[in-house]
Amino acid sequence: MEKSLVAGSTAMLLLKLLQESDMYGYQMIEELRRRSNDTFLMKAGTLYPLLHSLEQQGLVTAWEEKQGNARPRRYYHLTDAGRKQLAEKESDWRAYAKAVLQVLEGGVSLA
Amino acid sequence: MPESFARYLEQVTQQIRWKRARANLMTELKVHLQEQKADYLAQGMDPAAAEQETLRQMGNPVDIGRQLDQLHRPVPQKGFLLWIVVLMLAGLALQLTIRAELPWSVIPETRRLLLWAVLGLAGLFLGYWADAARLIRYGKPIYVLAVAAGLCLWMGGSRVNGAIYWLHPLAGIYPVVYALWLAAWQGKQRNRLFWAALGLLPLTMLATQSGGKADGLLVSICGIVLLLAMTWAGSFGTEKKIAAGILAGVAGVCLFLGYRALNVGSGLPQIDWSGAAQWGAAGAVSELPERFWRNADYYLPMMVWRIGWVPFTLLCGGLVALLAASAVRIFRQKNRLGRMLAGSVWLTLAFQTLCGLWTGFVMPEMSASCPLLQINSSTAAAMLLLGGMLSVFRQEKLPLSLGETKGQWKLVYQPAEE
Repeated sequence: MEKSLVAGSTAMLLLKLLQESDMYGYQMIEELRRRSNDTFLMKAGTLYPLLHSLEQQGLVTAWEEKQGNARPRRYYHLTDAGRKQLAEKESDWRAYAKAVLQVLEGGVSLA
Repeated sequence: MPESFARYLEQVTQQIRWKRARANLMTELKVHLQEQKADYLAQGMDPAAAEQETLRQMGNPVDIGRQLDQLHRPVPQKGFLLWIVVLMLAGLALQLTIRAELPWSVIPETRRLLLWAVLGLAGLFLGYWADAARLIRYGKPIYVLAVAAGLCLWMGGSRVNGAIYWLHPLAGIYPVVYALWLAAWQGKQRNRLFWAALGLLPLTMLATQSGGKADGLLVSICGIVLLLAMTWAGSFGTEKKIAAGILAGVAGVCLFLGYRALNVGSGLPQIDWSGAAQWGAAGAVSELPERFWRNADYYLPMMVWRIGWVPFTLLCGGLVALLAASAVRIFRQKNRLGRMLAGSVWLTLAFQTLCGLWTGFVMPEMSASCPLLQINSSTAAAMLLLGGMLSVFRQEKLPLSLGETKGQWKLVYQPAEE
């Protein structure tokens, strides 16, 4: 898929993943790949700056969990502000997708 | 860790200019690399191929480093620094002017005023460049040192009217020391709240021995507010009923000690318990008996007498506005410990300002000074604290490291690597 199509919606996709449960970076990449049938293959180099940017905007927060002697995993959690932002972005995206589909299918019939 | 991973992380690190941000960022990327590689190995890849594929999936290290660098930069606090320095210099200029006009007053001599001003400025910048993360990390040793310093002064410090003179500026930093102590005791174990709360008693007891009669209340009230905030936020793993008992016990003892130390009315018997009679008897500020001007504790009314109410109110307005602006910034802090540390500074200065203004005009026998407006050892200590508060603001874009589990939300700054 063309990168430009994905770029604008990546933040929304990440927020959507976090809507259901807290996740760590690697888990998010895998989950995104699985849910999109291998369409969205996000690189860590794209993911982490974006997650940190969302964190600075207050849309997500992070917490760490140590499992035994393993290195701590940094989980991300959707905040209330993030939930609100997600709802707005989702609504915009649905309206946009609907409009695109309508155009592709020949437009709204006036009859 | 494989050498190729170390090299990759090194390349990312080289792009990140702020050393304090590096440690947390690298931890997250390192874990990612290890998990990705483990997954490839589980899929049957050989180690060399798994490493290579992992690095390919990560992306260009220079790009990721640059992006992270842009996100995690220190936030300079030039406005606040300038504000504080201007206020302090205005206070100093006034004090020097008044001293020149009234050489018989007991305003400290010029050389001493300048010394405190220079020490205050040094403290401001020392606090500003300090690593708040490191302070939090060494909360317990700092607490022990502060108590030990108080005890040394108690045993051998010079006394004025029975009070230990140098405990006054030290008591001014005790609320912040207590905030560091509280941060060090966060955790799930049941007895943590007990030790966290108990730490307030020695600080309050020492503060009650200081020359500033309100210092006992300063430490106890600020300490109780901080303790309540931390308990409310679930930083200690104590059941609610036990927590309420511990908090009530410590709060009761500390407030009693603090209030008792006020010893209202004992300084000058002719003043009634509230001190209001002095104002009624004296009438206008300019008519106050000359003998009052001979005591540095009456400096604030003396300022009004010399410069008038309007400039004085503007000066106080500058101080109150500084507190208001910093309160807004504190509430915006995402890191809870950073918020608490900056909050402890704010509480201390707000209490001292309120107390200084209140006692300066209503109960001058209580001997409280106003930070920044009066240049003395307390102002030098206050400037060190203000620098520490600005250091928290400066580090607000530091990637946060959060320890323990989600339920505890134990937030910690991770200091820069040694």
